[in-house]
Amino acid sequence: MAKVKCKGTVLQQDIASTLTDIAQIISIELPEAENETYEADTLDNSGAGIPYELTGRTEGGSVSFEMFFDPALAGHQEFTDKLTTPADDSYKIIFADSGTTEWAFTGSGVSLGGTVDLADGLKANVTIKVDGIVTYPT
Amino acid sequence: MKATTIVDTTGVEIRDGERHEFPRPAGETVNHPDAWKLVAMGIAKPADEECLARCDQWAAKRGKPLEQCMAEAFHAHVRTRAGIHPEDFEKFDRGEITGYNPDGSFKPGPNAKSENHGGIIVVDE
Repeated sequence: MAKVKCKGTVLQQDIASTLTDIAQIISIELPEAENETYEADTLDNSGAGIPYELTGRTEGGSVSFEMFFDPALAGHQEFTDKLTTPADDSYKIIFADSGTTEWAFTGSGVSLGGTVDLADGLKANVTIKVDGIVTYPT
Repeated sequence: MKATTIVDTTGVEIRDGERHEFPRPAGETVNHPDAWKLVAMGIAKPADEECLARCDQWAAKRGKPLEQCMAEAFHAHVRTRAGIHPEDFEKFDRGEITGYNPDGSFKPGPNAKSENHGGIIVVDE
């Protein structure tokens, strides 16, 4: 058991069929993956609780991150390129634990916004929709 | 368009909806319409005329010689690979740190001037 530091974590994206590190990331939000369920209550249920059942599907969620944005950087332009030419792509999060655990996933679509603030550096927020489920280590 | 990798990387492809990874060692030539971007990311060098011409355009946009742009891109790659947080870029660029220890403190670089604890550099007065 260990408390894993966040500094040193790397997010990679596919450029020219090669996983490359995305520069200047400040923070990453991991996907909130969730098993899909349905409400399975019936009229003859005598209990007060609402029962749920699994459908057998899982929503993969999205990966979001904030970065100091350099609009002239090839690695950052890759995201604006994806907005003009949408395409599935491969990504990987490499954690800064001793085993450099990896979460690999395919991204299906991105969103990009940003903030221009007098008192701060130029920042962008990027969200990548996870296609399927992240390949979690087991 | 071709570029030759200068560091060990991982190749990745999506085939039939499945994601496939494979080792892409330094010295391997990548033939891809976006291969010049690998040069701009600091992990490859141009390997044909088409890639060189596109990289020259990239350098011209930055107003610097291609060699300088490639050197700066490689430095940025090493910094990113080490997982350096933007708030520590200057320390890394000055050679004061090379990364982070498991406890979050800095790994000292060749120009480290002082002892550091928990990510804070303590300067002896």
